[in-house]
Amino acid sequence: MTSPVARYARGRSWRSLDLFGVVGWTLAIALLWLILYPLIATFFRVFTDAGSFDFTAMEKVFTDASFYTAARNTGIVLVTAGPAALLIGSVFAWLNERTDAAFGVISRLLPLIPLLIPPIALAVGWVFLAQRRAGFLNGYLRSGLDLVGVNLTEGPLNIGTWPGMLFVYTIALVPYGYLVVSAALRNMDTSLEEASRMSGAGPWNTVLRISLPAIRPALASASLLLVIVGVSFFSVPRTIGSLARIDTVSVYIVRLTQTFPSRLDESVAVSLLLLVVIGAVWMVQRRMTRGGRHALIGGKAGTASLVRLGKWRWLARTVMVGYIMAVSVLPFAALTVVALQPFWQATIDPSILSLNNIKEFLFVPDSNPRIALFNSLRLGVMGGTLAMIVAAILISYAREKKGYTARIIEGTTKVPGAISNLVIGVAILVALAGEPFNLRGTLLILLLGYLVIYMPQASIAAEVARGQVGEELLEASYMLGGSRFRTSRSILLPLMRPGLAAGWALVFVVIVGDLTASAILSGPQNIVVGSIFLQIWEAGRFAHLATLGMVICLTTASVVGIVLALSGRKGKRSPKQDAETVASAVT
Amino acid sequence: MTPEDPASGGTTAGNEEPAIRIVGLEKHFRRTGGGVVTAVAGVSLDIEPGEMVVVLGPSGCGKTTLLRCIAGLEAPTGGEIYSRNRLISSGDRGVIVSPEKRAFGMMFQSYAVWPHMSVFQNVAYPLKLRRVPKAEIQERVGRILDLVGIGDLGTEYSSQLSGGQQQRIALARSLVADPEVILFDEPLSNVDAKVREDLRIELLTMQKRIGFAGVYVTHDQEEAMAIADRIVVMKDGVVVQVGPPDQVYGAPSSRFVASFIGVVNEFVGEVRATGDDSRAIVDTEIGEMSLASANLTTGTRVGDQVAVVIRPESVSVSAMRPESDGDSNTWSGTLRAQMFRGSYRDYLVDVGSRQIRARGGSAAGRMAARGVFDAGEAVFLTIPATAIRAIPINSGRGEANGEGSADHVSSDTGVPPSVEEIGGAGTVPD
Repeated sequence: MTSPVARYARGRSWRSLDLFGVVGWTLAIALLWLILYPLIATFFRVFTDAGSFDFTAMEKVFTDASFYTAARNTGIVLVTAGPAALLIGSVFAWLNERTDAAFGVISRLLPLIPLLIPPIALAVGWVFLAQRRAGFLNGYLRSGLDLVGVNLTEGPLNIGTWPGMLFVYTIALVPYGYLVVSAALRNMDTSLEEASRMSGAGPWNTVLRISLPAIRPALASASLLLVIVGVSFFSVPRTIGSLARIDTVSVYIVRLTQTFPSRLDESVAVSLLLLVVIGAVWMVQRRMTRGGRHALIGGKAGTASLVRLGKWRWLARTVMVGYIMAVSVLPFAALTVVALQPFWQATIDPSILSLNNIKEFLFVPDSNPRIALFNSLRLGVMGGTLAMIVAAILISYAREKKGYTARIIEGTTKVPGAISNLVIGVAILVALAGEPFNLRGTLLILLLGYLVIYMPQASIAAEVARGQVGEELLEASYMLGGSRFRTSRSILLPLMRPGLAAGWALVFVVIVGDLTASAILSGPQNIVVGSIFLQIWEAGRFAHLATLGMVICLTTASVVGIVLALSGRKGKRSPKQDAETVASAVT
Repeated sequence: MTPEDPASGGTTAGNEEPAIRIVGLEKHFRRTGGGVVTAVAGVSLDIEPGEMVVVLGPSGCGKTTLLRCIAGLEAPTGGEIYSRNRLISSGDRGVIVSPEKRAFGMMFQSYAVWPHMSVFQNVAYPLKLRRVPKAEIQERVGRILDLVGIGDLGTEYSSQLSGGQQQRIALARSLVADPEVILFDEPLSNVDAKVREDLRIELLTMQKRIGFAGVYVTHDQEEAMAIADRIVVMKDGVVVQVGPPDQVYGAPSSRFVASFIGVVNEFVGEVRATGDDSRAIVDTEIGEMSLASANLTTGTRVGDQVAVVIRPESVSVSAMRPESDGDSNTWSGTLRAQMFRGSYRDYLVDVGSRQIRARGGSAAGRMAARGVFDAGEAVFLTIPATAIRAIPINSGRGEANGEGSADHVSSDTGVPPSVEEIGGAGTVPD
């Protein structure tokens, strides 16, 4: 419903020059071009030859045995770690939204985990914790077992195995499931569940027969999200998978982009297959959510009557705290200790800890890690700022226009979310690195890649920020004679600012911690954190690896913390709200 | 389980035991800031089998919390609740029977019709949980759907139905397992006026026919009076008056009840004569009023401060001074405004420094021949002595003072605003 006033204000300015519209459409088209051009150009470059279709690249892929192995392994991950993450995430969501085991800290922290501890730091942290010989947990477990007479020289844990890798996949994916399901439970009309209790159903029956079926669309989109994220996940298979000698499709694709002679064509062919698979999953999800036989999100949400867990309450809390430890404190502690040791060993000897690695790493000018870190920070600041400006303009414009315009523009900003990061990375590499753009080795190609890949997050953050501003507040300004520019500057922007700041922090953090696009788009001339990380991993210099992981964690955690604290202080917004803004944009 | 729990479970002595007995119920909420909000402060109440009790009060009075404590959806801080002498909740003894084991029915304000189930499945749910045989479920659900007038909707899903239809499903669902007690949490406040009227009548018919005991929470005093056997008026977590609707309306025990239920003219005055014979006299700002001494609260003495309350429909308006019959009070005034309200007419008359509201049917016999006056016209107001009540001020229970300290934080509906829009004053950063 466009207000007559807004329509009048727009109509009037249309006749002179609708600057907002021009800017809005220009940005939308530029963004659409940036998303679609690489995909289409890449497709034609690889699959056409002198005007006719040529599928040799596809044939090569289908005759490559290691492709089948990689596809099978990715399949195994998706049917084990995916459902496990959804289950654990849903249980945590239910515990936090509906039972007396709810812990404010946990419900706030959980969705933020991927931001506070980027996946690369999580994966490497767990290598340090549970590597067969030098893993810290193994060290402690072995000395514990020694006391009861069991002597081991290695193990008992071994991260470099299928169970080890699936474990880390699972704990890394849990926040995605948690986020979607907890939001659905929070927005669900709690009287649906209360009516079930009053009908004679116990808490268990109510969960199975009412709560879960009523939020089926959320479960479906959580599954879709887990498939997309799980397929694209690169940090865990690249590190832990390489220890376990398990290749996944993500590792396979990235390797194809890096080999010489070039096998870029094949990486495009595999990317295309990925698109098809994700598209199929997406259609299944659409089917599941059709028909409106589910609880409407955004209905009246009340304070739920909490299920009393009794003696299970503390068990539930212990498990949740344990999870938080496993994804944050433990890996970060492991990174820190290895960074302070001259060489990585399973026991911690305080007398040999020093800051040498960090000094060597950060304060030697022209050291590659230092250059990479500064490049990443620069890209994070530029990418965050650019993405949020574009998203804020596009979303505000879409909200004002409504109808088809809004759907097209908002849809455009979301498209990359449905495409694997890998596919976007490969397409941008193929289309923009060489002629006629020649962006190979520049920071610009990385910036464009990040911008496309993380636009959905920026857009969601901007939508949340825009949604916080009631339409009447703007209409009141129009009624009092405020021009559209004036209204945007004095009313809309100040009210959106905290949400935009949260979005900025989010985009900054994911860019600095990015591994996938960095691995594909970065070369010796444009090294960033993600690519240097892989180089150090290959070289086996664990102290440097740990130092880099620790520095990234500290940087991202402090940026997130500062932005949340700053935007939380002003006005009535609580830090929790901002955390939720950020969290809802993580997906 | 308590010692007095009737193990036999027989219903022989049914009439003597209340369906619900509430004793000294308390519920405190801890605010996030650390403070404590008292939502229910010592409520005791018996609900007899087959009786419709309406709990009425302004928002924030604790009525919804009281209902949710009866339902088991909220754990009371103190006090006890019995269902047919079975202890179902005790704050002190730490007993809390979960809602599903209380075997009550409940209707919610938001219908709470499960979107993923058909109408039939919704209504069959309580029976399935009670392991009723399939054929019987089929039969009972069919019958109850017919009873509430949606027999043809069995296969539909709620997303295709109107609010009124959804609330009928909710009604059928709460009735289907034949609970002895059904709880109503403002069930009609989301449907539009016409449907509300229909549903109200059906609810009442159903209740008389089936004979369940009902606890009905509402803030709508007209609705309360229409369906209640007894009204329980609550304010600030305390019950301020209990009685049949006509009694609560006609003989409010406090200024709060008088002004909350219906419209009332109120004058503060001092008792000049208690009138042991039949007429008491109160001095008010618009002159002396004579009222039936039976309408004076017992124990009122000369010199006491009282609030005189007069319902608008007891005030007659006429153009000519009526003949004095010695039983009425008459004032002359100036008509300030009148409002046509359909079946009746509202008048606002200036008398001295005060305004008095009067109400009359346009063709009512006791009204002047013409019901329409000109604004500014001089009129006469007549109020029978029997229609004037005097309520003591600052005596007895604290709530007698209608303007009491109402700084309780609203915790009534338990529903915080769902969408937190930035709005209102003071949130715009410069």
